[in-house]
Amino acid sequence: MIEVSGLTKCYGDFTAVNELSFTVQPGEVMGLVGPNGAGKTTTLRCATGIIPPTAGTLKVAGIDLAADPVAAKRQLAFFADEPRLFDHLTVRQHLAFAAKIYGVPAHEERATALLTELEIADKADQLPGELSRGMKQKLVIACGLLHSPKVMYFDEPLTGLDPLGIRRMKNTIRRLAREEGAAIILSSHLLSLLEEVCTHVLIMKQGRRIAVGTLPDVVAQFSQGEADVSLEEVFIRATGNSET
Amino acid sequence: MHVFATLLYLRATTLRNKLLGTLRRLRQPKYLFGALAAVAYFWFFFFRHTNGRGGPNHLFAAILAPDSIEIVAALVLTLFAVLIWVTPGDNPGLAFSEAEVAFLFPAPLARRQLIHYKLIDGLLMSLVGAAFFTLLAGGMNAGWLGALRRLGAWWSLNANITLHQTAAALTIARLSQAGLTTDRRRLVLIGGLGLGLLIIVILVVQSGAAAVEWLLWPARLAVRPFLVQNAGDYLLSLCPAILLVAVHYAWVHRMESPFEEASIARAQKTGETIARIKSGRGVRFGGKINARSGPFTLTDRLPPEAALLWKNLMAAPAWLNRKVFLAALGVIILGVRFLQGQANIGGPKLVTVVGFIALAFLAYLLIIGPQLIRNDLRSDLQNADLLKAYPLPGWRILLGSLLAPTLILSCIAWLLLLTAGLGLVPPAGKAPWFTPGFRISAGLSLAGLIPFLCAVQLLVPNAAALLFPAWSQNTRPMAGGMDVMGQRLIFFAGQFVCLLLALLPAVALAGLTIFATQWLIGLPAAVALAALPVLLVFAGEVWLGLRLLGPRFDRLDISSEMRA
Repeated sequence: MIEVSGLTKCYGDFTAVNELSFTVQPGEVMGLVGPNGAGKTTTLRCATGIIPPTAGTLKVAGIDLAADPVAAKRQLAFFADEPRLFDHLTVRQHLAFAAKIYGVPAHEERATALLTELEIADKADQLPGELSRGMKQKLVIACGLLHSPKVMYFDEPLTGLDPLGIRRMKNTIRRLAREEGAAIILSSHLLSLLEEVCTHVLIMKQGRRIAVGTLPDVVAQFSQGEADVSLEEVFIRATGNSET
Repeated sequence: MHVFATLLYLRATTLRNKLLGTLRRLRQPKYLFGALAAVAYFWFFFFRHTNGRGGPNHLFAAILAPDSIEIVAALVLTLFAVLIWVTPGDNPGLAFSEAEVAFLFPAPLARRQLIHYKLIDGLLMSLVGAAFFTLLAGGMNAGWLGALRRLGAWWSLNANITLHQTAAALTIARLSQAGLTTDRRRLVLIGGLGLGLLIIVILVVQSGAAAVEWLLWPARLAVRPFLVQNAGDYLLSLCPAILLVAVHYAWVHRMESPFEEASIARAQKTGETIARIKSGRGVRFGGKINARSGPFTLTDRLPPEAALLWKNLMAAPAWLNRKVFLAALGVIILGVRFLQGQANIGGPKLVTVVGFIALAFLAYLLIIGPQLIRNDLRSDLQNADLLKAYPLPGWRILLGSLLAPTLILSCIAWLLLLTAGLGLVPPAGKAPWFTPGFRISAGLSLAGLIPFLCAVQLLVPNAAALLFPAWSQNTRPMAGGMDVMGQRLIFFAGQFVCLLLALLPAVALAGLTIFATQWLIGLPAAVALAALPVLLVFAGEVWLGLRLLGPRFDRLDISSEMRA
């Protein structure tokens, strides 16, 4: 479970995230949407403990990120928009490295299973330079899933993936939430993806929360009585025609 | 221990994979030759004289007493440390790579563990740096034991400097967090320095110069391992230096200052730089590219080559422009006139020294310049397909590509030539042949030849990039190692040999012309006349080079070259 309460992040005089509060229960997928500069990535970075918040509390699987960051981080995985990898470690060595950091014992079996599931088992001994962007993304996901996290954050997970990769990624996210009970936050500009995958949605603008709730609730809030209003239309109405 | 094991795994695996990658590359002859050249270079310059002769510091020892060397070195180190505090720049203190940020920051590691990770990493990297400096400073000349001693001294010095920089950056970050602005910090530091100087003066007046030695005490601990002669003294001097490393380490570790945001920003910046290098755009200094007006108006009447010149001039640093050139011209003329008016206080006149320095820089520029100014086909090789789509034969594309670096190098060379020409005036009665007439004639002739010589010189690396595109720095992925270093050595040697070959017929013709005509028309006129055949030779060489390389460019398939 993810609990965010009064999250505020300031850079000097600029407030990137302002008094943001929400919760994501196990098995839920929350879509985080907002115009450019709304504070989505900053929220994700704070929620993963990558950068410290200026104010507010963040709990991951019931553990306060400020009080016990190590225990909290053990429960989460963060998948950035760009796959950042070590140039000189092979696919398998990346998994071994991640296993060492997260203290995963006898990781080889799970690593092999993940590589097979993500269809990069045949690339196990290749370096990142020899992989396509989609494959790099898959490797990052394999590394993140190795320690079976209860909480996951995806920042633009479909960037650079081919149509088949996109479908598989969507299925993976749904499966992680439904079958493994992970609490997931998914930040993306692709509103159709959010409509397909998310159970909940949080709309942000200028660091503030505009709307939060289940997808049907948020849609109902901005549909003004109209039927079949898309999330795209809801987004435009909620953010005041802001650029996505 | 957990963090240390992770770091060791990462570094050991990286090193092993790098070595394996290098060994795999050696199967290709071009990399094998490169590696052999590098090994030969290292053997010749660094390992050949491991005979135990020659001691440390022999150069400085000839000038200064050991105690004085220690004070001077400590003073330099102290000043450097002060500079770190006054101008820290955007140093985040702990510089993580993008991959480290992605893997380690969200990982279940406490901030202190991350600090441990980076500090231990820094100490390991200091050891690599120490090995490099030991070789570079001729450490092997003192034998293997001597080299080991040097290695220890360099490592402790490197580690102390690196840790001090980190400590300063993190302390400054914490002070900034507490509300201390940059200006206030500088004010406090300058005030502190002023106070320190006052204390020094008072102590010197009261207790003599020995007081200064005490004030430099921490820096003296860091430099002393370089200066002691026997092994016992060395160990005794190394212990305090290592203790200083430990103190620095504890300082940074205890600080536990927030570094994450600055580290992420630095990692992104570094990542962008690496991406630029990988994509062949080279390292960019001075932040982001700003839009600016063109160097000249592209009219319809200009040939297509002018468009390539225009584009490549836009790719040059913004400060390389007409205004700066004209300003430099004015400064040189006024500066040299001012120096000529100065009284001669023993030794050569300052203006003559400046003239000689300019001449030396001119020679250096003509040899090294083509490797430094690279906004030609080399930086465009990644865009070769686009260039080939233009309705121009290859030789014209190549010609257009050469124009911008030729112009830039020529302008710099002209400024240096002018400085040398104005500054090098022999004293009365000496070098009677070096008349004003001769200087003007030789200067103007050289000025006319410089663009052609630069073009000839620039043809060489461009030809290399065309003939061996996979070797080119701008198309090669980020791969270091002995083989790549050796390739650069081969390139440089090739460039030098080509310069000699290009100059040979020109110099021979010039010599013959001067010899044959100076009796009739005088030396200045003979020099001017000799410039003509030289100019023809250079122009012919450029023309020949363009005509030979043009078809090669037309046939170039950059993607297949990269696959090979």
